Amino acid sequence: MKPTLLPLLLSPLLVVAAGAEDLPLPEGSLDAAHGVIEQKNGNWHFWGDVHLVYPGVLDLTCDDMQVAQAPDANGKPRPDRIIATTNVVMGIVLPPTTNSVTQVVKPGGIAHATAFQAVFNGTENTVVLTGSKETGQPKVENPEGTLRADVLTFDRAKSRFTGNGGFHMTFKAEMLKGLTSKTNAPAAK
Amino acid sequence: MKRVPTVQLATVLACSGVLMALVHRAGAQSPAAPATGPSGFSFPYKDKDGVLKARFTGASSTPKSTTLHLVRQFRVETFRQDGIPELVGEAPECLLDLSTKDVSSAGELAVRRSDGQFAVHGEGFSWNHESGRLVLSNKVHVTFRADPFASAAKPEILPRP
Repeated sequence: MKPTLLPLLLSPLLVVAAGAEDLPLPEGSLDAAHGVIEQKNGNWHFWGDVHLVYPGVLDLTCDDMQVAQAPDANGKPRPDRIIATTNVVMGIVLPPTTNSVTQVVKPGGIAHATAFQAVFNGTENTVVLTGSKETGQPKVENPEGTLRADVLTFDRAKSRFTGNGGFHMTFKAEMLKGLTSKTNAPAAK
Repeated sequence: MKRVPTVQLATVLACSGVLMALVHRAGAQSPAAPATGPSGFSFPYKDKDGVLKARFTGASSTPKSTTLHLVRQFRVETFRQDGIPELVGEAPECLLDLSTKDVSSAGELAVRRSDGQFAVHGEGFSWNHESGRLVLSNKVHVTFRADPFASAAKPEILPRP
């Protein structure tokens, strides 16, 4: 079974606002103890206390990170695949939501994800989180609740998480407030 | 059985050895000597077609061997095939091997892309211009302006018209 979550829960991550191409890009940074940069094939490898920050989008720490680049639409190299491995912890800035039910999630709120491995695939526009025997399932947590599965895939284009295997979700009561307030009043006697 | 005279065989082997050594030396092509003077150290590196690939410069240098130089206030600029500047690297001090184009140091290195979209800094490094491989041993710090999470170009099935 491959349950698909509504976009309202644990919704969009890593989504750049429309029209962002017209704005100057913020400066991202990456710190690590060690690194190897292969200029010719565009592969980078960093390990030891890796910390990647992209303001307003993502804050990620892990022990090992490999980056493979590919040309963008203009032919300039840009990271196409990022593989973060071991003790992956991400803070994900949530963009504003248009779903009235999810008003409990304030724009700029942060979802936290933990996993053994996170794979960012630029071509597929997905983020795949997986666990390990030692660390257990990957987990995504935000003010609305928590989501666990053997494999958690975030489709950035659809702003949708898909959980595959061992799916488990918990959510907080505040999330239902918008729904319960619309219950019909009892009929007058 | 016909015997080969010992002296003749030894002479042939010796001559062939000298010849092989000369051929090997000619094939290796010792690197051009860098220009050194009051203005400092300068070594332009060109490919076989004479296209400038990189320019190594420094405030001063101390030869450690025929090809190995200790360069102070080292700077390297690399160029694309069309001559457009690509990367600029700077180090307070490093060892430069002109034959292998290896640059290394236990000290700091700062590299930035000429368009300002990417920069990297580290302590302790080894870089080879031929392979384009940079190893940073400690305290790696990268800054970038390209959105790493925007979609890359989709692979095209048909070539563009």
